[in-house]
Amino acid sequence: MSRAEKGLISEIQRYSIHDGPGIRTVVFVKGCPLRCQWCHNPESQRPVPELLYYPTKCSNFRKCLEICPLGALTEAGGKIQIDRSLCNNCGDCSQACPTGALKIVGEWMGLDPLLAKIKKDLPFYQTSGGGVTISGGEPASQPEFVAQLLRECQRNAIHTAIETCGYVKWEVLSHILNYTNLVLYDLKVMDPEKHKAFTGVSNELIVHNAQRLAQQRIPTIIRVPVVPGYTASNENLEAIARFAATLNSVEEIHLLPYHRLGEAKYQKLDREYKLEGIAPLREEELETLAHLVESYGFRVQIGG
Amino acid sequence: MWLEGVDMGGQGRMILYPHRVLEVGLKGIKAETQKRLDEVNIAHDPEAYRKTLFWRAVIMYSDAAIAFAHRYAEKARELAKRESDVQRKADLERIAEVCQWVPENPARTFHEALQTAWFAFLLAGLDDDADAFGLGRVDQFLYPYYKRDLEEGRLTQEEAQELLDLFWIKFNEAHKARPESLPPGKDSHGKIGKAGDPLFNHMTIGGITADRQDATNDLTYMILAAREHIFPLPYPNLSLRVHPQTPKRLLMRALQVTAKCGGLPQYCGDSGIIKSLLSRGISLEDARDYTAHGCSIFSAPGLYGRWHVTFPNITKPLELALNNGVDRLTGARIGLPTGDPTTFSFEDLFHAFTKQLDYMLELSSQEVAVTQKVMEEKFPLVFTSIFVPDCLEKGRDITAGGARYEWGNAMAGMGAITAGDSLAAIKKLVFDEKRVTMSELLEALDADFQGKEELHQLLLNAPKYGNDDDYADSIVKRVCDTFCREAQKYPTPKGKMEPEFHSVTLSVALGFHTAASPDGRRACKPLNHDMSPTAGCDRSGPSAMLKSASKIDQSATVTSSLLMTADPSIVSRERDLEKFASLLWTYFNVLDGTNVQLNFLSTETLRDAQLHPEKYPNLVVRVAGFNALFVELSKPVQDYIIERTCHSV
Ligand code: SF4
Ligand code: SF4
Repeated sequence: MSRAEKGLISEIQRYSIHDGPGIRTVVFVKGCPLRCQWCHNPESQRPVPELLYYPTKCSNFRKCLEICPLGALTEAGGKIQIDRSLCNNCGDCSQACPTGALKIVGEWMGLDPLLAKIKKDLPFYQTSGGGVTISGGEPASQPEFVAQLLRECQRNAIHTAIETCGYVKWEVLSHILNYTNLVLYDLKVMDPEKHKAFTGVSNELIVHNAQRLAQQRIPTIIRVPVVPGYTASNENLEAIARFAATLNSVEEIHLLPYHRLGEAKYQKLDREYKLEGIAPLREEELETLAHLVESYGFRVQIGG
Repeated sequence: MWLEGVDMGGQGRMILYPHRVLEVGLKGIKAETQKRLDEVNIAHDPEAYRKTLFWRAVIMYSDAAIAFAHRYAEKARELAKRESDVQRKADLERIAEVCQWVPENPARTFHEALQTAWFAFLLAGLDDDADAFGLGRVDQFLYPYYKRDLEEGRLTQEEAQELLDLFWIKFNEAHKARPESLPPGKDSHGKIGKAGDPLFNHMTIGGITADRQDATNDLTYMILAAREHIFPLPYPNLSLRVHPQTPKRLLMRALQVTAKCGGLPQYCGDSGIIKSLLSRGISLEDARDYTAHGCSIFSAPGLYGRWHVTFPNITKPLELALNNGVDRLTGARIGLPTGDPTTFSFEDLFHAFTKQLDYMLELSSQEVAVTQKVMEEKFPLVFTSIFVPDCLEKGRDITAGGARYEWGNAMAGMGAITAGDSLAAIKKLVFDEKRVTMSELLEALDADFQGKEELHQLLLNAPKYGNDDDYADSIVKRVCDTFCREAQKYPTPKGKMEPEFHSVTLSVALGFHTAASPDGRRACKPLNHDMSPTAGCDRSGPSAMLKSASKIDQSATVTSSLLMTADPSIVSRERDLEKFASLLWTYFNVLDGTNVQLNFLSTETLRDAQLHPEKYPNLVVRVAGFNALFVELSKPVQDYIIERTCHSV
């Protein structure tokens, strides 16, 4: 089977209750055109399998040192160091690692095995009004595979949702939308300059796609990551609410409070985390922002 | 190899059905019995001699019970006389009136009905120092009294609630002395196996009626409220029966209470349990009227109960199969010589395991048979028999076969999952992937994995039940099927042994006597609980765990409990609670699951409570099929609770 018929999946999470209605399985695809500084899924950004190292699981058997064909691994102070310039993410070391401390994130999966995994919770979707949500990364980074997957889910009477950053060619996105029952559309910052500074890209395409999406009449929920010092200002949230008010498929806005759970993953990938030291918002601050958005006529939910 | 249920005195483990006594009073029971005595004729009925003895005893016991109640009345009158507070005086006088009237006479009011039920429980406990009684479907049999009092203006809802609350509190007063330490070789399984000194009394609410309608009524909700009001008192146990028409409001309300009140109520699935009872010859009407008793055992009206439970250690036969019948901890030959495991194929191993298991079950059923005969001859249960349908009619007490349904034995398998996960690890690493040889594995088991860390890690990371992974689940299912089949092979004087996976902390006690197992469990550490995954091994979320459990044929057992620990945040918001409710609903109504016990507690809270007990005097946890104050549990039991996976969002 060629790679095109497979999708690169970073994780499958069952009993997910914050990514759309009911009990859902979230499929995280790997690959994202954005580099949001607050991203808590950095392992899903690059469109290739990547080696992760969990120092706490490591019992230092050093099996991996002998195995690596490229000599990318060394040991220092009881911990394994990965020379990322040498490592080609082949995964040999993770196969040999008995503790699971070295792990490749990103598995090329065929449609059928993936569908079989999704179908495992079918009875729970049916009774709770749940289904599948494709998230990431960016679902549209693997458009053909994701479209096929969503189509198959719908054929199996599974409700489908995607969570998208919107930074995609409209033709690509609209192909996926053919098989989508609900869109969770991420809007981060309305100011294009800031958007570029925080995520690496400008937001014109995102804004434009949101407008086109609104014409498709697919139920859409706007999701805003609320990150202190980045997106969490009154001004930004009002701008988002004002814009969302022009989109007639949007009735609901979710504010996703920034949390630090992603921080450790940056270390596991040997990447720099730029938000160190930022404290999550307090409950009351979130409530105030929620009321602000509500005043534009939306149902607002804190958290997914 | 197994532990015994009755070695600490008392039979119990059954449902007391107070219906007859509520309707006619002990006076009525006596009159019926006298009539039977008058009519029985030994010339026509060879059983007459035995019946006469039983019926005469019933009359004597009834008189004693009436006198017992009258002493309460007398005491209350005496206290009333001396009381100066007007309200308290009136209360005492009312108590005196009620105890003077019931259980001798039929209950006329809600208050009298509650008092009758309480006396039934108290006196049955005195019968032979038993525990683990169920009082049946309290919201059902009390409802007519409640309704009539309300309609006739005798009682307000608030007063009824107060009476219920008081009734609930009473169950925390009764205690039982258990031996601190048992003879050598048994450690203190009384303390660890039944950690927290529970009496396992049990009430049941909800479910369906005889004609399959939803049985929910006002009392169902009021009993949940009583549970909330008396928190953190841990007893009695409470089960909510769930079926397809259970109102969503009820399930959500119950879950709120469970989250707030240390795991009560627990939940049972009508569909799976009724199926199991029907397959055992219980009538449809009785099966639909089933209730819980003990920690999580299900009985129908007229069922003897389950007074005789043995707790076979299902991991031990695997240990013996891997060591040619010799106990790896003591070196004693306690099993059968089943051959050198290094020559085994996987099927050979499974076969050896089955032989060892069968041998152990045969031995334990011999013990059961002897105990039953001794109990019948030496410890008839006359008073208790008044509350078990058909004993009076048949003229036999329950130990002599008076109950409508003649089975009173259970084999509560412990460590089935540990055994299954162990076999899965062997199949994968030794036979499928050949990463490890059998001799290496055996050496590591002998060494309790000391110096074999790498192999230990491989074993720990092998497929585990609880993740909806067919590799492990299918082997676990095979172990469970084998156990259920073998358990039912042995007849006893009281019918077949019925298999179950029910929940007490004996998995900790039995673990003490079990060597390291190939799932990576170290020697003397706990086995898995009931049907729950080995602590910490369910890593794929709650839906996957429930799916794994649903692969086991639960209706082949009479109880299959599953314990789930979840972070309180999983139900903290209304919309999340609703999702959790539908998770449970699906497990019971679609997947035929039978019993779920829940703890909504974060691991951090438990760790902190272990370190700073003074901060958590009221922290109630669901230990197994019962609750206890966390700080009162022994360290091994606390550790075991902490190690369980905490499902979060
Ligand atoms: S869009 Fe999402 S996945 Fe992509 S970088 Fe931003 S936060 Fe991460
Ligand atoms: S993934 Fe491959 S190249 Fe990278 S460290 Fe491991 S063995 Fe070496």
